[in-house]
Amino acid sequence: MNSGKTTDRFSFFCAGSPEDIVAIDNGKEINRAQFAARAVDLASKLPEKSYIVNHCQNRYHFMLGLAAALLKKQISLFPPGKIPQVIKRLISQYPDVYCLSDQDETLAGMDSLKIPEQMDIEGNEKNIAELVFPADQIVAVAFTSGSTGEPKPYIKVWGGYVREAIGAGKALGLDAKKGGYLVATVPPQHMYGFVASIMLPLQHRYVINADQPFFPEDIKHAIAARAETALFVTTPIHLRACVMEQTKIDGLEMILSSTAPLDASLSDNAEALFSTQVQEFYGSTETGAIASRRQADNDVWKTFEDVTVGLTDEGFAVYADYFYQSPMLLPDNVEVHNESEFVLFGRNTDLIKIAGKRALLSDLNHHLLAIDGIKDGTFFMPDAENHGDSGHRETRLAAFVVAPGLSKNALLDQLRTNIDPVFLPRPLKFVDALPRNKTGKLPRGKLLELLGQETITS
Amino acid sequence: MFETNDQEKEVANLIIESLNLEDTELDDIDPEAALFKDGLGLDSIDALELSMAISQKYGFKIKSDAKDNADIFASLRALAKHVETNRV
Repeated sequence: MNSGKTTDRFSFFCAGSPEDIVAIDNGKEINRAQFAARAVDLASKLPEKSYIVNHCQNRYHFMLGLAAALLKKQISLFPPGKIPQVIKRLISQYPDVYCLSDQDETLAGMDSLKIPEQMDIEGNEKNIAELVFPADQIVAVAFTSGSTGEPKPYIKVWGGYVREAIGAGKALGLDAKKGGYLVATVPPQHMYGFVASIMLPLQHRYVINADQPFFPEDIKHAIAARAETALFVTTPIHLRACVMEQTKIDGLEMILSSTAPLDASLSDNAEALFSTQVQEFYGSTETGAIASRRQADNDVWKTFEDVTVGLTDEGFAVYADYFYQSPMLLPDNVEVHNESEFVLFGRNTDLIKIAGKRALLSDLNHHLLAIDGIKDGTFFMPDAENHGDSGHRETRLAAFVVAPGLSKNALLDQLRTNIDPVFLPRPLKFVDALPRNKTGKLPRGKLLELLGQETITS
Repeated sequence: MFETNDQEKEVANLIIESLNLEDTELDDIDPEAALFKDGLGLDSIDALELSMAISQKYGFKIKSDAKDNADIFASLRALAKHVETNRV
């Protein structure tokens, strides 16, 4: 790893003044001096543990938790979901872990600390100077799902996150001297949410809205909360909802979308409706965000500064001297134009992405076939249905099972303990046999045919 | 088989159509059961899809800042009532 020289240190905030507003929480502004004083106070209250799961839903609370954990040199774990099996496995692999939460509901089986109310803590400029961390300090371990049910860990260092955020800001043309306001519909625990709604605003003097608005009307309300224009960090799913409902939102500086490529028609319609640019990020848990594009220009992804790409025998390789390990290999199918430009094409048939979550078909099938009473079965990704102007609806997985004697609900209950709810099959079809060919494979055409047929009644 | 009124049937059909639940029968939906998590097992993408379908069919937009979001989607019965009160 080389995230700069080992002596390099990066501040939590970019250059600015103690009065700069960091966040707006329920109408209240929090400036840097107040934030720093509260982060130092929170750090003193954290338990003596090595690992933290920052489960805070409020973006300002999450940011405070991050700063406090950095001060205490605790490493954040970003599990790929919160289903019981995933959390159980995490606890067994990292027993010295606890959960920081701002909700009554916490993660099953994990020690938990509820973030304390800190309304009475005065700002202290001196605390800002404490929020400076070595480039090679380990901030987090992020996980992706593996093909055998075992998630793979990726180590993230502070210098890497800061340089990713600076590269991302340059790609978007953000100006840290000017600053701005940011509203996001994505959770801060997601790779994209972390870079775009936590690191990017910290490194560019943007005020974050602590809420995570969901419905188009909520988004409109959050954006209107401040007079300045807003950078709106969102996903194709939310953008599609805004376009479908024709929710006109004024006062946008820019829209940033990620988690899945935008359909060109949706991008065009969003630009027209909101009178602003729609930019997109491409990234992964392994690499963080690495490239951007604007569909209105073309579909070519351009890498951030200090990031290059190439095709190797092992696949799509991404290089950056600030990665913990370089190159990182990604499972997407791409055509590399040159070391800083590429396009996505076709798809990796084993890789499933729904609503910003990623799974391998082989892993899902592994969990399906492990269920008692299933004689044969497979998950299957149908073709996307296009809905014209507003792009496509999120395509869900289907599954076919040969399981006489098992009820649909019993089967779904079993699946729910092991796989994330977004991957639950819809429809789940009970069949007499799968259309396997002589070599035991399942031709796509046959499965599509089966999907169109009536289910047998079991 | 559950007892549902006409408004509930209409909203149930909208849910089935807009969320690709072709393998769910109208009669399978318990009007008092939770739409999300346990009941039909719907998730947040579904909530957005449903809000789009409602806005197109009934001409009003779902908001959660009224803090009754959980109540609106609590069950088919609750959602049907909300639609009845707010439809344009």
